[in-house]
Amino acid sequence: MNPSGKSVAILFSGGTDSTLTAALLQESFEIIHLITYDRFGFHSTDNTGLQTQLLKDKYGDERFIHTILNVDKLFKHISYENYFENIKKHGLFNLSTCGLCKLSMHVRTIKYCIDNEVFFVADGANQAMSMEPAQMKPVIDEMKNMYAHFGITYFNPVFNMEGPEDKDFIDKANNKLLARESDYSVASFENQNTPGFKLYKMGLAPSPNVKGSDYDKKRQPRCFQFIVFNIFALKYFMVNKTYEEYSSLTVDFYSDKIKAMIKLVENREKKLFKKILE
Amino acid sequence: MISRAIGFIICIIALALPWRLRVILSEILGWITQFIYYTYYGILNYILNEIRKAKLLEEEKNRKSNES
Repeated sequence: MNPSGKSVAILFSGGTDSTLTAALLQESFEIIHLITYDRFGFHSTDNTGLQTQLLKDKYGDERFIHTILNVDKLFKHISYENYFENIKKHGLFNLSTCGLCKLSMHVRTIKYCIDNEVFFVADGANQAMSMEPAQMKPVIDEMKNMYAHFGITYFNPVFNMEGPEDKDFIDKANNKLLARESDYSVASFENQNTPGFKLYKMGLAPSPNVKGSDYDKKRQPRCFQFIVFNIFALKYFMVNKTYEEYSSLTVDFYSDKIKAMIKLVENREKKLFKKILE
Repeated sequence: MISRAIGFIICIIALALPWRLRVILSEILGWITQFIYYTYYGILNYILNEIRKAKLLEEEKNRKSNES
């Protein structure tokens, strides 16, 4: 059961999960703040306008406020604060770029919520992306504590849904070709507990599984920073370690980072915070 | 093992880079991956098209020989 209230802020990428989150929460909140983030390395952030317009057309123009916020300085600060100490303690986990980027978005969201008196935050985090730090349950719990520290409730309406099967790029190419040759695409209709299927049923997506498709590329910002993270996690770390070890070290790293960010936001009257966020 | 060693070298380089250069490194690696993807897709697509054409020709040939 999702909470309800006057307004909610959603970390909005325009993808399947965050669009479904917005579509579900419009039932229990009057105003939906869709927040998209921009920084050096992101391309086509404006693409998010496509899904925003679909939501506005379906549920009412006045109920959605779409804002694009820049997190350049914040992302830099989060990635490099206390850097040498962090390298000594956490080593290559400092290359966990996607999680650090998401953390910068969360910190920026806290500032947005404080400024706009929003007390609820949601995103499209989904348990299927188990390697992605910001979508791992223990890290999400740490994030929840961070939000709670500032009187904000953070929740994940689509977390327990099943994600589409994760494929590498060769598999994706094979599937694209197979879909043309046969009835392969029917397979994606089989699982009805995916965010993609629900979004399709709501009339907000042209197919139940658009992940990686041309349509998907046109509605989301593009970013390649996951590549360095994937090289570290999949090609280096996981070769001779277990997922439990990965998870435990990731949580340690993010626990330290989140503590540092709580301190940063607590001191929001200080120069450093203003320099990074204003 | 070789891919792990290459991975480690890339990680060490990335760790030493300031943030904008790290982003650019990711972009370069991303474009290389995209290039491999499109090359692979293009070659496979070409092979499938040729097979499809050959199949059509064969069917046409069979149809004509049946008629005659």
